Amino acid sequence: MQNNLKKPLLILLSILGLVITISCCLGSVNIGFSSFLSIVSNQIGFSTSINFTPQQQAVLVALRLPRVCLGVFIGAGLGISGAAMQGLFRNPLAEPGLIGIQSGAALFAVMMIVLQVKVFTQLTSLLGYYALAIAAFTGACITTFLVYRLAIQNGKTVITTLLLSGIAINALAGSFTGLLTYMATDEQLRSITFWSLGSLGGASWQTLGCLFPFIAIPVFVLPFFAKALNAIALGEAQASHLGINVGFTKKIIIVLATMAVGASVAVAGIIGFIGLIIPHILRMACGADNKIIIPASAILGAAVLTLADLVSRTIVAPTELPIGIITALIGTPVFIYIINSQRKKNYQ
Amino acid sequence: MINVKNISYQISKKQLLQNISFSVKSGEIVAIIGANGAGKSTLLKILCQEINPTAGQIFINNKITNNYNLGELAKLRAVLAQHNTLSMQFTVKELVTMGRYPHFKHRPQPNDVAIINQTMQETGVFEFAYRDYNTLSGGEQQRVQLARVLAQIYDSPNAFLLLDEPTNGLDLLYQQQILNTARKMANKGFGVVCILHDINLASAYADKILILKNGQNIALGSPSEVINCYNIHKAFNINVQLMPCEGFNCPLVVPSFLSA
Repeated sequence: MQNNLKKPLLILLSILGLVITISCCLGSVNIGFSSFLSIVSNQIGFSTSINFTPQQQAVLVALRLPRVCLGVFIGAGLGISGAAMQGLFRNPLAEPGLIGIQSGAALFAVMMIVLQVKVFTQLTSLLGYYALAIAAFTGACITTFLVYRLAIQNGKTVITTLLLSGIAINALAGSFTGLLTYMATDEQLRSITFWSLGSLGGASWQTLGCLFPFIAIPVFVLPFFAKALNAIALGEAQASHLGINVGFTKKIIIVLATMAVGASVAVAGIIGFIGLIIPHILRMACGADNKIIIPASAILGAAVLTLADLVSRTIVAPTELPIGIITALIGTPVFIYIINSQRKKNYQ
Repeated sequence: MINVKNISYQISKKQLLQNISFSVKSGEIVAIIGANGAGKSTLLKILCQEINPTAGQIFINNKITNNYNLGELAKLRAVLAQHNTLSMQFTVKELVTMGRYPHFKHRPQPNDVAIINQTMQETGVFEFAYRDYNTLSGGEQQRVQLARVLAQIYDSPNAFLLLDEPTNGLDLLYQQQILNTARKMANKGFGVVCILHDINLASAYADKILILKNGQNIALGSPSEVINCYNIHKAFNINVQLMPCEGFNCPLVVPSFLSA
């Protein structure tokens, strides 16, 4: 049992390590593997021999490393929230976007970009670069809270109602976003597009520091709900017969997912498909046990997003492609493949 | 012992259960029968604290159920629901392991593993322990769920088993197997509450039968006391005949249209 649990996680961790190393080395300024090692050991103070150019060092430390770390953080946050949501909603098609996290964040971000209202300009002058991120995070929290409140009946959240009100609120937020897009100037349109397709371009050590708690708390807390999520797969009533506090589990998971996804969207825009597909791939490979799926989704999500970012910034260098395009481009065929193979399996 | 005292339940103005009282002793099977909509499932949901009664109380081993927390209750009673769907593709063994969730924190202990294997063997699902639950037939799935439910209380003395139509949709052999398992558990000292549709199965296996109609208790007692033409007609609105059956302590109930 113990062995079963550790092996897939170790494999995934080594894949993640490999992806991180490759991502650090490749880019518009290439850094050889030995130079990479040399820079890293120099930074830590491990060795003093210099096997790299100052330019390489500057690129790695100031630009590339924070960007790779951002990919790891956001991928982990999206992957683990997706896995937890699918478990909670008892629906393999669920993803954080379903309860309005992303559409709410998008609406508020677009409001910031388009409406040059006093409140927003003041906010921008007060918080500078972070204003957009904070607005997006607020939007994510407001819509999720709204969806959650709508789904409460007699003090209990009904999952089907939660999904339906999620769809309704998503549509509403989407239409407002559309309206604002219609009002936007050309220049604003460009930044809206860029934001809504996602990018890790805004990475800096400062952003990472702000993002860290929002990702770290969900990633460390959600695995403790693996047992509860397994039991919820039997049905909510069945889970409560097994002594699981289903109401509490729902609340915590929704709060944690909103934290991780809301913060991710705030920093990097909307990055689709990671939350949906990563848990699926893992379930096909190592079964449905959430004790593996939950932590593994964080690791694989991190690896895949880092890889996608590597593609997005190298494929059309020196410019870059929005990462949302890459994840959807790779994600969709993989997803169709999964649907297909599951259908075949069911007919056997 | 489960003591149900004057339970009533109503939604808006509709009275679903009215003043129901009965008790389940250790080692006893109590069957609840009645027509569709009589309140059987509602009563079972109240028994397993899924919903709260509008009036009345339930005591388990002389302690009122509200004073137990979820974890304590989980070790005291296991519930086999009527509809069981599984949203993810767990294997049979993983599913039965969930029955031990109230007993271990992170990893099943040797005792848990032994019980899981034991109940899988008792219900005859051991041979497909590593198969995907969703690929099993309805009868196999029901037996896997039973194994999970048995595992939950297997080593808890004075625990109770609540079964909501466990034989639903199963063929005769599986119906018997499941009720035989329930009987075995009762003989070991567990109390069993079981909703059944088949009156003859109920009188064959139960020590006590509770007949419900429109949320009211119309008869409660041993099968030979309560299974008669009058009660059956009152509960199900059909005319029946009773046929004595050899080696069977209670007459069989046969719908009257069979004999002219």
